Amino acid sequence: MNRSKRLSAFLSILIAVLFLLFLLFPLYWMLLTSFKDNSVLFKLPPEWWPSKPVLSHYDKLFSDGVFLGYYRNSLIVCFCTTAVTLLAAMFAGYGFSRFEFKFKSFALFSILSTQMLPVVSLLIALYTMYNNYHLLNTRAGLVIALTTSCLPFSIWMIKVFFDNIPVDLEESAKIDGATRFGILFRIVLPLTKPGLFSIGIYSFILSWDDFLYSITLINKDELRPLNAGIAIRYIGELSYDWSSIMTVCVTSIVPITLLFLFFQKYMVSGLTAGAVKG
Amino acid sequence: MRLSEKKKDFLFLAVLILPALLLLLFTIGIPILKSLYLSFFDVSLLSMKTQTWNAFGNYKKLFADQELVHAIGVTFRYVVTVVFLQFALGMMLALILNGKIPFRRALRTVILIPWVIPTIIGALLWMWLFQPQYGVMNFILQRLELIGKPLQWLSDIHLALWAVTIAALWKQLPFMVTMLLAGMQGIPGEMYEAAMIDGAGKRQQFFHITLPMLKNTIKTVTLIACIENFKMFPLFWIMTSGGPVNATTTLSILSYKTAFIDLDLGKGAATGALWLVIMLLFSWVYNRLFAIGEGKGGAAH
Amino acid sequence: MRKTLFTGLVLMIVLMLAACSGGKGDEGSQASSPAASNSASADAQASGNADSGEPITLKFASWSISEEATKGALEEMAQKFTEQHPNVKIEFVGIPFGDIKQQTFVMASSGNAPDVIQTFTASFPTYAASDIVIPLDDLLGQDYINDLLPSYKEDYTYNGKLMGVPWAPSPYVLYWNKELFKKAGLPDRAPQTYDEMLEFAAAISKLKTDSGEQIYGLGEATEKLPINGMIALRNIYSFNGSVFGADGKVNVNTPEVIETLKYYQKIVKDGLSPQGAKLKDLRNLFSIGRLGMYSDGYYGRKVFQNLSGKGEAFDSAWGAALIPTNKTNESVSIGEAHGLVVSKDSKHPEMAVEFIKFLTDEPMISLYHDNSDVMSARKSIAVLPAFNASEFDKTLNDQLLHIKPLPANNQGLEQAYLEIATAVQKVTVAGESPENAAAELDSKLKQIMK
Repeated sequence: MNRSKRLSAFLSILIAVLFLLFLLFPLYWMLLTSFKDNSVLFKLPPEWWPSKPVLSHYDKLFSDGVFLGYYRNSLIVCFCTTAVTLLAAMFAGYGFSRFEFKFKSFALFSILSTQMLPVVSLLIALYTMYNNYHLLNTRAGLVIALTTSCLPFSIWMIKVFFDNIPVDLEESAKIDGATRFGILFRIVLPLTKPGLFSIGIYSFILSWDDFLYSITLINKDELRPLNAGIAIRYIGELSYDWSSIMTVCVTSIVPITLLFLFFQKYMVSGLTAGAVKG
Repeated sequence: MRLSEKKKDFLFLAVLILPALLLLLFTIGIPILKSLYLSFFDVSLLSMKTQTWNAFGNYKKLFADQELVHAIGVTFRYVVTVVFLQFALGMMLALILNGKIPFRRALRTVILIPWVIPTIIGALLWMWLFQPQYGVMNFILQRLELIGKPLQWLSDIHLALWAVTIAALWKQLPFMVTMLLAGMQGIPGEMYEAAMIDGAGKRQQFFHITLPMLKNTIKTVTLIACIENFKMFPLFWIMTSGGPVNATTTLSILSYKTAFIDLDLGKGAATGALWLVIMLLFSWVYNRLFAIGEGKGGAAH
Repeated sequence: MRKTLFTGLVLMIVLMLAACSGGKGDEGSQASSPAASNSASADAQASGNADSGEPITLKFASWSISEEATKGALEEMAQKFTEQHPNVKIEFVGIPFGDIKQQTFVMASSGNAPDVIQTFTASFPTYAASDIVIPLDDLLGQDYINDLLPSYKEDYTYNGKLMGVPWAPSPYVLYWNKELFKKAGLPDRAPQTYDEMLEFAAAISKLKTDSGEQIYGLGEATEKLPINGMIALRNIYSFNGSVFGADGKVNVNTPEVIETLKYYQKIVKDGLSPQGAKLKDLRNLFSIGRLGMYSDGYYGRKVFQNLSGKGEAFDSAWGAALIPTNKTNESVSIGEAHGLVVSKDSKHPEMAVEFIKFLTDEPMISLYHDNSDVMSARKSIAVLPAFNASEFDKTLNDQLLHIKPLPANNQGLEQAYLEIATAVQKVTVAGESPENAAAELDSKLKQIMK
């Protein structure tokens, strides 16, 4: 008994280590590559630890302000998207949770099914519309597009949170003469803090991941967000300059990873609370 | 004049849901209708001025060449594999992390990192790892004597889809694990204690307590995973562009290629329309599957 | 507690919206800066001699502007142009090579295309046959057109009209790695014939790196891309084949084409060539001494210097030579050129053409040549000593004399190139028989190239 217990404990640790290797080794390799000079980069067997780490790839990357510009654009766009998504999803989720109306389930289903649509097949129509409304090459336009890609799941998740809050609370507040918005903001919202956090983080990560919208709707370099900027400027057509590419990758993920590690407590609890109860 | 409570309710509701609905209508609703409309016309980016009705010609063309069927096949193969693996491996890792393993708190955080990494960066990273001549993956596998000679990964007709699947797993597994883990932590410990007293083994506990209790979580996370992977574009586009030959041409790649490489917007739109139909059917079936053996409205609360 | 949370939330949202609108504010300031520079240049113009005129912004869609190797040169050119034409501002629209066609077409679909678009030979036919670019004969004038090298002029002509300008032309030549030749005990010269090339390649393929990794003898690009189909056409030409039969109609189900496909199949199967490579993969392998020979345009040198990690010292490790002779008993290659087209949406086509002339004129091409070995498609410039100085220049110019024209531009030509590449991929990756692949290709091309 004891032996088999120890064996199973050993096995779990072994499996956990394997998973860890799978998930983290690529990141280590990315980091390592970014410090390698081209003269050692292609060597086999590879250097598992840089014998002569170089910073030249980072120097080159930061020598012009372009990369930081992309970064700033991404941050602005993602924060705005998150804010707009939070507002819109919060309202809509509350509406769907608290009110019964005709076509409600149809509306909910349609909203959710927009999530299934390939962005690809909407691009042309979207581009033409954006052009007509002068939204091309504006951050606002990109924010609107990204918001709608975040909204469906956000509405869905936050609705579940609202569903779990007893209606009695609101009724007693109503009797005390609180307005509808008052009830929403003072009573219901504070209770859905984890839900708001979770959809906020979900939207942020989703918009940070976007590639298609930003590459189509933005073609001014000074407005381009990170992913599009990377694809355009750093992948390169003449050759695969792997150490430079990996340098760009490292630089682009370090801040978001730190941000994530800082917030992860809220994020995980919020995200999971929503889905588990849903 | 005072509005009746009912009117007020209605106004309030309108204020609540209209912003979201209008946003969705603007960037998704209208474009969908527009592209559905386009799917019935001869439209090419070569000459946008002329659009002629072609009597379902786009759809006929689509069904005439085998590309569509092939792409549907590839898409389903990819989605099923990646979601299944994700779920199975995710469950395994979640069980381990739910147990008494050292550093589990730190582990739970650290494994989530790949999830925040943008898909395009993940794609580039895995291309570098999979590089056939000097990539580290081949080197490691050769050293471990798991393979005899370097694999061609992304340019091998049988391996390419697997290579993309691995890259997708890497990014998506963490989310799956986290969700399942949270679900497990929500299961009251007494249930397991009671089962132990009844003499149930680990396996029985898993099948009779853990799985049933996780049902809703599983439904949600696998549905999210299915949808995300159905739509998956950047990973394929950057890693293989649908090749070699058409081994990794999924529906999203096909519709992108038709619309933007062949510049045949009409046919591209028709692909998109069919896709929508497939997705709706899929989610209907999916809901049905999960509803089996469940009272109505089981998922609501 | 609730109150603070609520205030916090509102504050957060307000802050974010502020950040958002702040972003828009930035935009405004960015938009105003060109205006400022314009007014500054207007002053310069008043004191100077330049042609007067209202401020013009020319949008120039290009992938070279975002390539490390060429970015600097292009920026310099734009700046020089603005010095000459103070009222004109060149605004670069950087789009990756692989996306530039679809992006510019999408832009054009809403009347929004950049004034000048960079393209290349394999993609050009699609532009030429579309309604988004304009013919340039009248705008350029006969003198300019007559100065173009005939084969390049042909490549940029559609229905008798010049629809684009060949800008940075290059023939495909054979690159060979001297060190690997030496190591394999081969003579210190490039192979003269295909047979010899295959023989050399086999010898090099027997070599291993110090750590026992495979070395390839001869690289061919077999990834499914239009450009690789065009390159395959070079091989088809070498095997004395063509896309067209004697009657001028499409016919690729010929022994020559089948033999070309066999050649591809063989070199991949025997491990002489890497599988499913793009040209850039080949450049990488060549740079690190794991590829003996491959053919490419002028683009190589800078890339080799960078990736080999040896800088200019690596220049002596390789040579460039004419494409070996094959069934035609003379070297046959194809010429490719990055080209420039003017979009129909352009409000200043005259100025756009002026810019193109400026770019292709001697000073700017010289600058580009010094920067990245670019040649000129204009007879008067190609013969200048500066373009014939190095061994490398001479080889390129020599090969230019041995070029077979590409098929006349046709709406389906780019698609046809893609199909040829697909056929190559089918025989090399999917193990399909060359006979089958050629037959399938034949029926496809007959549909496409009407």
